[in-house]
Amino acid sequence: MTGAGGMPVEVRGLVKAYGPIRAVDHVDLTVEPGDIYGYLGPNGAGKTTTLRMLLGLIRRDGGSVALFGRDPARGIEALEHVAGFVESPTFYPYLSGRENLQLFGALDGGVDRTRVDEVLEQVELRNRARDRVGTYSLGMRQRLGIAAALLRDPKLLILDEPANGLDPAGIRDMRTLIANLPDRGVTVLYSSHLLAEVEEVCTRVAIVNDGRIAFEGQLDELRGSFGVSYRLETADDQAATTAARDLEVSIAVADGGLSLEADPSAIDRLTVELGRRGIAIRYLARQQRSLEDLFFQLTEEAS
Amino acid sequence: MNVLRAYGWETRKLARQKRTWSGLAAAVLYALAFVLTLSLKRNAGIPPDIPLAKQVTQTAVVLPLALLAFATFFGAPVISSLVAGDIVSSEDANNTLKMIFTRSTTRGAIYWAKVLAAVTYGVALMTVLFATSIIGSLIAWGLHGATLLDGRHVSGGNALGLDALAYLTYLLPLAVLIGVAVFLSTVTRNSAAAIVGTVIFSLAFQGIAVLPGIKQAKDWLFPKQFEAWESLFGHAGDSIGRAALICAVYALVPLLAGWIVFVRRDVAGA
Repeated sequence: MTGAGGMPVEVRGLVKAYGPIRAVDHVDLTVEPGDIYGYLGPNGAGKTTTLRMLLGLIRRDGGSVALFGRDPARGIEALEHVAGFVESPTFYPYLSGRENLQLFGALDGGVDRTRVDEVLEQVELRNRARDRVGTYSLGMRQRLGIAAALLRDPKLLILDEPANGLDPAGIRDMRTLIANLPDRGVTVLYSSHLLAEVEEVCTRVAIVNDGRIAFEGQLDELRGSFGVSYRLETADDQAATTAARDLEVSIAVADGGLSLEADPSAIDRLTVELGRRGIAIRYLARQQRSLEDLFFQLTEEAS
Repeated sequence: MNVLRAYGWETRKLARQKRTWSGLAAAVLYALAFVLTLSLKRNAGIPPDIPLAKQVTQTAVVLPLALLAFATFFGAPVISSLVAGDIVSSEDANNTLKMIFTRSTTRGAIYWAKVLAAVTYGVALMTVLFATSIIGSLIAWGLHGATLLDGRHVSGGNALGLDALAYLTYLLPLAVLIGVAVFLSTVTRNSAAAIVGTVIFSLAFQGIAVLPGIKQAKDWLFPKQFEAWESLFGHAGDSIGRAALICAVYALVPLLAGWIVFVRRDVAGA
């Protein structure tokens, strides 16, 4: 599954500077086989610049990049098992969708018509394949970009904002397509600003801000790193607050109830204590913090 | 192999663009305009310094040569740079380099495929120009023998063969202009700048060539090579071999410089 050898993506200390501005500042990334790896960050955080260096489109100023153990700066051989695009995929507007794919296939050493039809079918563009790309909508170009990437039968797919321009149905289809890729041996590095999108499909994430990685790891680790919160509603919130403070449990009033930040054993002790003090519990539930909350907390804290 | 595969697609891309056909149509109109003017206007002629000028309305083989002579100043740089000056910068305009640089063909192979495609277009233009002028002249004046500059008389068929060789020879300096246009297209990333730059390059060299006191050096300047074909018709002092050598140097310098820029460039921005 690791193809030519090594992890699909191993980036260490990656640096790219434009004059005094460091667009990418000592970034470390590790994408493991079978990952759908979300690369998140606000606009201008350095996501696309990182992806450009991964694809060998721009030179780096420092650090190392290895795709399946090979450095893309040393030649296109490193991209042998890799496909993808940065920003929106682009095409020759005067050629048809099929001709664009045939052209890309030719640059890959040749591709047969059946394979082109297959990928067009996968992205549901077969009925428009003969039309000039100049007549395509943004969403259709996005899907053609996916088709152009899949044409290479990649083991690593690098996608930069692939849901851009897609309607809700298109986003759902894209999500399904990406979610199924690991079953076919494809690892995905997925850059997006659609946090819900990443939360839906990604197994691991990196959050980048001002060119630096603010977090890298499993989504559960990310949630865990900010503690677990619970929502509590009682017959006497005032007395419940006092009981929590007596047990040194962090508690705050929130949205007509109480919000607790504590581990499960502290919650166990608190519920027993509330019962002992005769305070009725009306509602107690673990609160799942959304990735969006965590993302904003991380990026705003860093700023 | 990769170069040839990429070249195949470069030519297909050219065939699908209006710019390509506009250039070829302009070549047809240019040739037809000469034929019509000379056919319709009584006592019309061409400048006497063009080889065989006096025979222009006597045999079809002279007009194609006149077109070559007239094209040197402005037509050659414009028509050669129309496609060559756009062939790299159009990738910047369409933002497609990021797509093709991540496939399995090297940047170098893509560059030389583009150069070959630009040269192919130059050949196509010269073929269209030659074919249109010959067909038009044949209809207007018929195919007859001609007397060359050294006094030899050749049959119409032989003169036609010499015309074809003259057009082939003209491709040598045209290749220099194509090389300059591809280089400017690569460096400026702007088609208009590449076309204008190629015209300025050509005019600047022609300006240098008429400076007093450089008679010895003139033969080694690039504009002189536009006259190399005249040796086929008995004109003394011109040499196709020397033109080939000089044009190879003049063409390779910008092409190699463009190649270095192309393979090393960053593909950043939207």
